Amino acid sequence: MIETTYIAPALDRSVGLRRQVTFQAMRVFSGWGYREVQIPLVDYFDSIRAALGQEQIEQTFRFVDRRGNVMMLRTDVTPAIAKLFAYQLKSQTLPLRVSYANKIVRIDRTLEGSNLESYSLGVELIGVPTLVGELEAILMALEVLERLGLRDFQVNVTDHGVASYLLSATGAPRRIRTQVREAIVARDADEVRRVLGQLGIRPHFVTAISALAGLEGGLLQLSQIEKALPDDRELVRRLDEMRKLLGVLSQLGYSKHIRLDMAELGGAHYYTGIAFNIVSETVGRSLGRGGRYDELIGMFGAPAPAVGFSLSAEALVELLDPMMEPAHRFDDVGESVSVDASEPSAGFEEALRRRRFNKSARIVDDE
Amino acid sequence: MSDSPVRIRIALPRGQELERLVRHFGAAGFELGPLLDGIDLVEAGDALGTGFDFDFVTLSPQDVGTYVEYGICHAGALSTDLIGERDVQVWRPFTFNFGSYPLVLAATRGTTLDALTAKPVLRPATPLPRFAKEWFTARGISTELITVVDSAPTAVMLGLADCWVDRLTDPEAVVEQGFRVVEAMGRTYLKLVVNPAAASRRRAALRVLIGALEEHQPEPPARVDIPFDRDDP
Repeated sequence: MIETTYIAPALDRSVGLRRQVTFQAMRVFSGWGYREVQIPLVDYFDSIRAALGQEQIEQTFRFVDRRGNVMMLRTDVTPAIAKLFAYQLKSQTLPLRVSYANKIVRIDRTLEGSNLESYSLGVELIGVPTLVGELEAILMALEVLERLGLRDFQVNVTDHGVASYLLSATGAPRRIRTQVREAIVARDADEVRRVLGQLGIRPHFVTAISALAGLEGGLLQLSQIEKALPDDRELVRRLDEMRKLLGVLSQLGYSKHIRLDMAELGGAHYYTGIAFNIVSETVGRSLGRGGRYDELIGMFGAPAPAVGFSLSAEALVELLDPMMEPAHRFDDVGESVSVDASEPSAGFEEALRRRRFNKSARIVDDE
Repeated sequence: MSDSPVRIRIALPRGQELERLVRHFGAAGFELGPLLDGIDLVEAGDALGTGFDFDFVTLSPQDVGTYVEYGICHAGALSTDLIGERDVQVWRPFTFNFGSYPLVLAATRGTTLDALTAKPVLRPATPLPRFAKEWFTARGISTELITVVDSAPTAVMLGLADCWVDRLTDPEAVVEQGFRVVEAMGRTYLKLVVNPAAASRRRAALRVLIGALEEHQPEPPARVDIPFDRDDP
């Protein structure tokens, strides 16, 4: 029996659609001044490992090269770009804007194989420490989605810094903090209260942290957190920053697509500040994620603030599939040009003539 | 993905908890009696005035998570042990008062944990292999897990396994079969689960639903009395 575990679709319609999505996204990135960067598919595992979360490490394909080095296939582009910047691009003038359209390879949780390889389209903005960076990233993501003609999507915005700050303040051990964070992502406020209650955490922290897990989201969440800890200046500053971000995006006319959701803490572990997840009810899943990661580049060299996002070409294609025309549609598709194998010139002359007028020329061997 | 922007489809698991779920949703305003008569789909309308019509479908408990994760159903009722086993990515914004059970390690009467771990290879039977593996591994106990779909005690009675790991739903039956609980390993809860891509309006409607379920939360059933071996006279 043929082994099909790792076989990707070869002539699927999604191949052409993915190319169109990539083209459109890269045009938008270029329009915002981003230059495409080349990232290695294979890298030294030990050099990247510190920048990967436990889940990402478990998703990594690894193998040993001829010299005995443990190598890995790229599972996430952002750590690779952070390393690239620290090693090769640190002399560049900041801010540095780079974009990519790369394949990533991950062992998915079901290991059924169909999702092992996927295409990631994204940008990294290095050297902008202020809210301007997050706004630029979100606006670019919105432009890509708009230019693809998408309407059914929502950008859920959070601040990883608020959750990390509150969880650290409880003094709970790392294992418990991880458990609570997972419960927040699952919007399971009961579980948050149960776990923190067992540790005897002070009630106002329990109130603030369980407010993060609320399904309602929105500014109400910020008020609940602020009400629980009104005298914490660092916390209040972060909450005000969130309000400011929402205010600007609203002023720019994006309130319909933007939603504050403090529980949106999934995705890569390296986010340190404002982050976002783009979801669509139509496909029932995430289209892409992004956010601020100010500590990642420092793992490879001198620290630098950074923000970025990536979109899943597969998820976008799934959403687009019924809407989009094939990439190169010809009215006369299928029209053939006969070529006599013993005297091929005449046939090929006809084929070239047709191609000059952008018409199809499907060669048929007339032998 | 849903076929209509103004519908909310909710998956309820067939089996043990269905009757209590139907009663609870009934108290919240949805007439779901036909689900207990074997009908698989009830269009229950907009009983809560949310602007969404609610449909309820019954599925195998094993499938509820899949349907919700992929957005075919917007929400469902699912126990935390199955969420963990299937590793489904869903939200869990509400806990039902019923459907919570101890997860236990049980063996024939008189068997201790020391006796089990003294075996060269311990063979527990379980429908919850992921949970069981984590529990044994965290305690440094080497096992050869036997995954069963239906009755784990049967695997021990027929000699396939040394002990079993499962929910303890009926302690009397366990005792009658000659088993006792060696260790209480954890607890499972029944949750309302939600697809993580839910947009603002649907979220608001689900919040109304959760409010109605909270308001009509039934009295919790008496906690299951765990028949520990050490408690035997």
